[in-house]
Amino acid sequence: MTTRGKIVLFALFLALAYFGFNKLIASGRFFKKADTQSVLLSSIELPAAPSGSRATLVVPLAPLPGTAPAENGTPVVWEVMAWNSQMAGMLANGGPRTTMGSALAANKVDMQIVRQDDVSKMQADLVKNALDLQSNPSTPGLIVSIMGDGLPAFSAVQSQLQKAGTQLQVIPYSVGKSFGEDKLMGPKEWLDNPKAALGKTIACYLRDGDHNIALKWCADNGLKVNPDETTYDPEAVNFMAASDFLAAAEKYIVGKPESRTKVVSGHSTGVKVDVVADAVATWTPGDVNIAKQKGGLVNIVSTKDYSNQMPNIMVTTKRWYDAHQPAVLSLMTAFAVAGDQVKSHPEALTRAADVSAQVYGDQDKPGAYWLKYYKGTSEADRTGQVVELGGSKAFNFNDNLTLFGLDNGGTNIYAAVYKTFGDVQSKLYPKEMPSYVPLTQMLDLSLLRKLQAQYKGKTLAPAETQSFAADDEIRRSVSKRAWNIEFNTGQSTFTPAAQRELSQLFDDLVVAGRLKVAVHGYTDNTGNADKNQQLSEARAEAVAHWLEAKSASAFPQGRVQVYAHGAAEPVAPNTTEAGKAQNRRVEVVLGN
Amino acid sequence: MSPLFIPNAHPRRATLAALVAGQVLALLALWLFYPLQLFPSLGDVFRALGDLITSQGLLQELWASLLTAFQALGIATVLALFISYLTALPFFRPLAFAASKLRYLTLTGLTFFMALLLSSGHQVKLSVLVFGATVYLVTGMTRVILGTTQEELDHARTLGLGEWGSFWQVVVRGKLADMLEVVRQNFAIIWTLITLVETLYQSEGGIGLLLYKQNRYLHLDGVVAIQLVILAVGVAQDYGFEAVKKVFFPYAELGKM
Repeated sequence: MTTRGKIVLFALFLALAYFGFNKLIASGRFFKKADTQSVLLSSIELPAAPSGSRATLVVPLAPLPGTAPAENGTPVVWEVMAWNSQMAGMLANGGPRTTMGSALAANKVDMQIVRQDDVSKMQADLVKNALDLQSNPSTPGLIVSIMGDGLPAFSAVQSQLQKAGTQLQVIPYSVGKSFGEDKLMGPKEWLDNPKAALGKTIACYLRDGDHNIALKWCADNGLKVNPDETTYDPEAVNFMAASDFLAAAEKYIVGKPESRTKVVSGHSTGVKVDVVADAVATWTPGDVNIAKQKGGLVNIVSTKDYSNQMPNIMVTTKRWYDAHQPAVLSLMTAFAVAGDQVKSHPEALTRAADVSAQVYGDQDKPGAYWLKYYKGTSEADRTGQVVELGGSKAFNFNDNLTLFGLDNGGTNIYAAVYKTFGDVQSKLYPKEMPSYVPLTQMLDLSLLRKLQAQYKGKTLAPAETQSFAADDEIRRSVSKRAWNIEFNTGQSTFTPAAQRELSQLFDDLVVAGRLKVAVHGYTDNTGNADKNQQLSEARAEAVAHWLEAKSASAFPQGRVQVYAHGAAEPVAPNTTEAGKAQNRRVEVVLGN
Repeated sequence: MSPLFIPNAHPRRATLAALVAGQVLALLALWLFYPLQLFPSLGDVFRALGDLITSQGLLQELWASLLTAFQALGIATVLALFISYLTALPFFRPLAFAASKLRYLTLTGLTFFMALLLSSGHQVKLSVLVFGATVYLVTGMTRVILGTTQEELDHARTLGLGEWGSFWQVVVRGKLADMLEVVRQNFAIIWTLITLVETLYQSEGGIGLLLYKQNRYLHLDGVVAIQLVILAVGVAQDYGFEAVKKVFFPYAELGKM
């Protein structure tokens, strides 16, 4: 055969192979990828902080820690992301390694703080630490800090740890939380009309805290979300996956389209469409980059609104935790002492920011940078829009009692957050995350109770409280959603199905601790107007009472307001039974 | 004494094949009967592979990645051939030299500039792959061209060819088989990069994205399964290239020691 013949035959063969395979793959005859339907998440509620005494008790300023390493005590390594919620931990340590005169040195702990932004590396390090501890019990323990709502996904490491003969253990103490720095930024119109987000795309680092904020906002506004990052659903909110939170901001700044397959009600249409990032879920400095380099987005919602979503949760291996109970207690004590200092004294906070700068090691970000964004700041972006940037909070001991529900009859706020976001993620990604470890298997509050008993009767700085003025209307609504809470016909009592809905609503409102709740009652047009007016009020009241009775700490006086509309504003024609059922509803508006 | 243990021996093909099969089987048996503490067992990996194929579209993703990979390889090969053939003219030698040195660049941060210059995510993906492959290909190809001996050129000249003629016959046509070998050896770099770029632009899916997701949720059995699939595809590619070479350049191995 001549060379020319070979070339022709070879080209023919290639063309055949290409078209053949393409046809085969596109036909979906064999092993189709499972269809992913867009999901309407039932609303995601978060616990609220209680309102307690308003008296501010200030702890006296303690001497600031020195700079020389103490090199004495139980060795432990703490891996952290560059996250401002860790100020109390930074001050407690006095430097990247425990210094003389620091709270940790006083409690005989020798801690090395290491920056680690990569979650999978953290998981691997925990497994390695478990193995090292097995062969040599004197190995320094490892504690890693992650976002509270990200722990369910992080708990995937459990199976590996079990192979190493141990499991995850949560330290029952949190050093602080995000308070504004994690956020969903979007076009201004989304504030007034959340429905405008349908068919739009949010760039973010998927399956993480920022993603959760966006998901919660969608759920609270009754917007479907498309869990598949490779398809586009015009009737849902879509996500554009980025490799980290800064890359997410970059997707919006650069604004280049990505092509994906359009789906309609879960079925691929085979049509390719180009999507760009219309909004971003990110955290500081991602928000700073957006404001400075492009602008045009405003804060839609942030961890200031969902104020309990993102506590800093520390996890370690049960192997180390069980063998070092006194050291864990010392850690918690030192963090509690430093937490009070950071919260009450600017000098202590400034010092904590300087230690942060040392630990995080970004040459261009001195202590002043971390301090500024810890407090949170408002800046004008490139288009002149004012955006709020940053914002974190340090915790003291009482904040922890509140978080874990050990204050008087409180709700375990963190347990609600954990379950809420675990359920959301496993509902969206059943293939990747079929289940997650129940918190009860990892969290044991006995050490926190022990400390609580020690401190009983001593003066402690109070927890931050959230107070709501009862006559204060919601001025800016963050979300609005209708709930099909079924009432027994003509009455304001709940059906069993309604109880389930209410539990969901409760968990959901708990995460959004700082937002006020307005419960609007509606009826169908059966019966006379006066009676309907009364009935709608009684129903909305019933929901409010149910919430307040379930947790006085999450729903303090003045947080929940009730509005009655009778048969007004129907959402469906009252001509059919189904339409009437839709109109007998309770709408919950969150806002501030 | 078996030829397998004599230095520089050439055992029969059948013997070699049996040897390879035996070694692979031994490895699998070890894996099956002595599972490591943290490494997924063979059974788990097969289960994960089955699940990936039947419900997570592994084959579709693989096809998508393969298409992108071949597209990038095609562009990179043409580009690299052009740059390296230009080195026949001394004026262009610095260009090839520079292109070859660019392989020391790391891609982190460069993707941002590429994104600014190009109009879509797919183009950025392709450019990263083309860039990554071209710099390696140029390195190998210029080495081939510079390996042209004076005798080969003199031979062509004595046959009455001019400077361009001998360049065409000796360097361009005469080295095509070697060039194909360079392409085969450097195809692997595309597979290394493809998993990276697919996580940068996840809208189009691909096997890299699948791998990334498995890793994110610590489905280590799935990770190993996908890695094995990539390995198998790579091996198949190698054989494919060999076959093409045999068909088009049956005499290329003549005279090589």
